[in-house]
Amino acid sequence: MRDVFKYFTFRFLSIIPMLLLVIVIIFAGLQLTPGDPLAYMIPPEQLGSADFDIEAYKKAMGLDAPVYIQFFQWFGDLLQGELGFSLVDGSAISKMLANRLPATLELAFAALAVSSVLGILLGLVSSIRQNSAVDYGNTALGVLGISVPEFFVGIIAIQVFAITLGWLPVSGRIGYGDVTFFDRIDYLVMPALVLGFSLTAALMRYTRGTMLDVLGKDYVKTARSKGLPEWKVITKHAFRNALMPVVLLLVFRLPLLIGGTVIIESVFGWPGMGGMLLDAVSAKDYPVVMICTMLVAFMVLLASFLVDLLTALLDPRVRFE
Amino acid sequence: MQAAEKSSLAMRNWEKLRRNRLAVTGFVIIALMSLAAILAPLLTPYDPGAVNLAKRVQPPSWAHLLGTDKLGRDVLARLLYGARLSIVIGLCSALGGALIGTVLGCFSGYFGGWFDKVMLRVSELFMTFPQIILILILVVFFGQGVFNLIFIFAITGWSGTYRLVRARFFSLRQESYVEACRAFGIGEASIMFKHILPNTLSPVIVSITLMTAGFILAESGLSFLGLGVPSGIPTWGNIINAAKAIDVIQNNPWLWIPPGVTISLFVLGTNFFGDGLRDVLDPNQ
Repeated sequence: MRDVFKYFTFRFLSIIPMLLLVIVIIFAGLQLTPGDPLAYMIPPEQLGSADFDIEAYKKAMGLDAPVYIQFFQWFGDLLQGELGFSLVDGSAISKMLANRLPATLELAFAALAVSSVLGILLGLVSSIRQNSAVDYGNTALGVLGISVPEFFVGIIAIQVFAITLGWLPVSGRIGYGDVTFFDRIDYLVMPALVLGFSLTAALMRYTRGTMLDVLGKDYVKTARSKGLPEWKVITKHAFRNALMPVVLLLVFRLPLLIGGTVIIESVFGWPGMGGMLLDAVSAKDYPVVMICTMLVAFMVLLASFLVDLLTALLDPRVRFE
Repeated sequence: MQAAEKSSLAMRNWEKLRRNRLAVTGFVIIALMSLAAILAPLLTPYDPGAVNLAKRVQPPSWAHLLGTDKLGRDVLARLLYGARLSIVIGLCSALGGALIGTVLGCFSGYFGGWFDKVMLRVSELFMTFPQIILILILVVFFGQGVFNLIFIFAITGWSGTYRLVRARFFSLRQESYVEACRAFGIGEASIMFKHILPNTLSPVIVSITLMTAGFILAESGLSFLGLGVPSGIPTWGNIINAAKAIDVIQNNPWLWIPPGVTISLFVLGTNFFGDGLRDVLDPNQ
């Protein structure tokens, strides 16, 4: 047990150099982008006032200092949650993120939950009833999942479920008078399902594949031949062993889910980070783009850490060294 | 002798491909749609860019089979001409990405060492970082445009091919025929590119096919967001871009169903063909 703990601590600490590398790259990006850094470091109302001495300010802020000293200052601000200001409207990026990030995380987690349950379940059914109508239907769904653009799926969903049937709201996140999470869950259903669509398809194909693989193994035949009921063979012997690669695929595709939110948020008018990044890209709002990128990079690192963690926990053959 | 063997292998592969129903279906879809794109001027009398404000947002009719858009442009003409650009962007980006990946993979797999270690890390970074966000960042720096887009796709999409080629080089460089080449005093570059590279090409061809599908999807997504090809130029993504407005989704289905179906069908065909090709060329994958 102590080995496990030591291994995780080591793995976690080994992320730190990567984090620092990301931060240095982002700083370099900010330095290299056109435009005066002052524009995103000072609140605009202060910059605009008449008695504002820009040279003195530069000196006071250390902007005449060598680049590496500036880097440490910027880094210090970063640690305190000072992320700079948008070039477009001068609002603090930390505040923008505080407004937008929860919405994106909510959407991504909902999509993750729905597609992992749905994908694994469908894949399981497909593998048990191989070559049945259900299996063929699932295979077709799997092919569509990698071929139909997700925004097209989204548009069709809006047309069918929001406009024609009127079951779900067309777009947005919170309706008038909604208070709790459950009041506004009807807003979440469509974007989460559509965002999770291709992940569901991928998981289904993968679960089916690994399950069929495992079901052909000798130990499954042994379990059957000693007279275990079929459901026990499937759940206890086959599924447990088929699950691991599936979970790894799931975590491995987490960053993709974050990337997918950019398009899905735009289709469904979901007020998240994707829309913020999109606006920033169109307006060449470099500081916002850079900070968003940094955040995504952090998430990618976290996901890769989770992959290692899960591999170690699920596979007893992994050694902790 | 060698020529005869070569042709018989090619013939055998061709037979296998022909008997693979999915691959044939995929190929027929790709061929028909590409042909329609090439023959666009013969198939429609309209100019895809011709604005006709008197005939704005008309539903499908005999004059305009798929209706007209908000500027009175013929949707079918835009789809046919748009196919040219969308397919070219997808294919060129895939070729570019494959070229970068193959060259890097050759050096990395053949020589190993620090270059290999660094490149492997870099490729991991490219594989795990969400591609669409990377592309968006690069669009900020390079600006929008067809060539910029192909360039951006190529430099963000090489890592898959790189890993394929690298892995093949790793195993092939220990083969005895490579040893024999060295013993004959053949130069390293010649061994790499003339003797090992041809043996890695079949998985690369498969990955080019599948990458083309991926890049066509990426282009349509990016143009849908309004950040891909500049909006005046017809591409499949730019045509479906109209459906960002709820009233268009509700009232003008001919503006978004045809382009959506077209993109899906082409990507489906490419995926089928790629999968079939993999079954034939690369049976152990």
